[in-house]
Amino acid sequence: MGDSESIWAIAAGVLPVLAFLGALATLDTFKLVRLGRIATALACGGAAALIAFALNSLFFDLLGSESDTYAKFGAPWVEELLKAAWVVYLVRSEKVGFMVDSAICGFATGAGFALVENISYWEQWGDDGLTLWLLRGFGTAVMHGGATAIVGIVAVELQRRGATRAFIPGLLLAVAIHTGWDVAVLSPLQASMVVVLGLPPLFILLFARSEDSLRDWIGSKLAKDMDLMDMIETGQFLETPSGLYLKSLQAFHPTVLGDMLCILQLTSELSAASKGNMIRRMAGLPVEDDPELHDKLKELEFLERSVGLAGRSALAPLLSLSSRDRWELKNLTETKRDRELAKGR
Amino acid sequence: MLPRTAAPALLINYESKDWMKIGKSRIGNLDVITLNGRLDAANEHAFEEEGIRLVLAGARCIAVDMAGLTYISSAGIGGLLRLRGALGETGGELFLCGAKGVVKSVLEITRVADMIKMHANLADAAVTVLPGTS
Repeated sequence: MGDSESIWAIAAGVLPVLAFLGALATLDTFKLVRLGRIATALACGGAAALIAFALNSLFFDLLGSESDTYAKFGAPWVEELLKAAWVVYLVRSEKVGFMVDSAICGFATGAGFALVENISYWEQWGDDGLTLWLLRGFGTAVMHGGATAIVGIVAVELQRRGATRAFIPGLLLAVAIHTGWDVAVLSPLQASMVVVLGLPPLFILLFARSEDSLRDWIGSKLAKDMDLMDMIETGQFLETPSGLYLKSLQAFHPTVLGDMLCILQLTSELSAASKGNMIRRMAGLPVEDDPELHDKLKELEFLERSVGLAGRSALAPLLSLSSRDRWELKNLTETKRDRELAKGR
Repeated sequence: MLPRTAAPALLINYESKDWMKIGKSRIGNLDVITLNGRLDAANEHAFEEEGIRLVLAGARCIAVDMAGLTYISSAGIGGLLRLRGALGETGGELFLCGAKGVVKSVLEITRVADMIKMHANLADAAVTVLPGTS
């Protein structure tokens, strides 16, 4: 086999999954996921593949003649757990908040895993047989991405609904898909066809649903934020039922009550700013620098320290921050950090 | 009639941050600190330093014009109370004027309004402090 065969083989092994990932990123009209996060997810997936290789090699040595059974029924658990770790971290730390961003980050993690795996196999097997690499590129690699994306999608949706172990159902589903793949319920060609033809419409459907939900959330929450900002800024807030509740918290020092009011003001300002950024990104407009953002976020930290845990608990009924709202504030911080990194500050 | 004696030459403006502007002026023997923007943990020290500088320079009546202030937290309130304390030690007095919206709400809920005299605007404060200005 010559150099051109090698290039075709490696291209067939790695390009389809990257193209699929690129298509998912393009479908993200709100640009919830930035390139840096996709690159990190790819790297984490690659690292997961290296760890999986070490663990699987260990189990192969330990199990000897049973290693074939392990490859079909044990390795999927190891690999899906390792791939899911990064996605679970993103969901638990609320760095992703919607099906769209969790799917892209999950798929990127699985893609990173598949890239390292395919390159490793290419080194072992060589470029013998373009069909093999087409099947691995369109089939196995996309299956890895899709399975981890499912972990993210299910986890973020269940977490939004308040589930405590939100990642378990998605992980079980991913392991089932992976095991089915390894057991070869379908022939490699049939399985690859199912993946290539089935995943795109599934993702398009999920993305459309997620973006509808995102639009509804932005619309309704932006109106609430603006109303709250207006009431606070015009001094009418203390006369509303929420303001009366705040004033009734006499157990707190008056300055703590003042800082609680400041938290409401800042949170609604930041929340509205974040939604404004999302709307700008959706419209293809650049996100403008808010020179006050850094100090507002610092001030929010100061206020949260000032009111303490008890104060934050007392404020919870007024703030009612959902996982999406907390994601939003983190997103604002990361947008600023990304821009600072881009400027080389 | 109110003597608007703050001559442009005496007006010292500087920015502790782009979003917090502090101005200084004088109406008779009333020193005025004008705050615009946000008085928060990051910049309250600039305000406090300016106030203490005025006290050390012999100011006895200081009015803080808050008409352009859009935010104040406990950090800013702390600065106000410390300035009031420093003025109290020299027999002076601090006035707040022009607070509105959320700033007024914060001053009310923190009960600062019970401790420091508040006026609707700078003109009212000047009428109180300066004899013969009404």
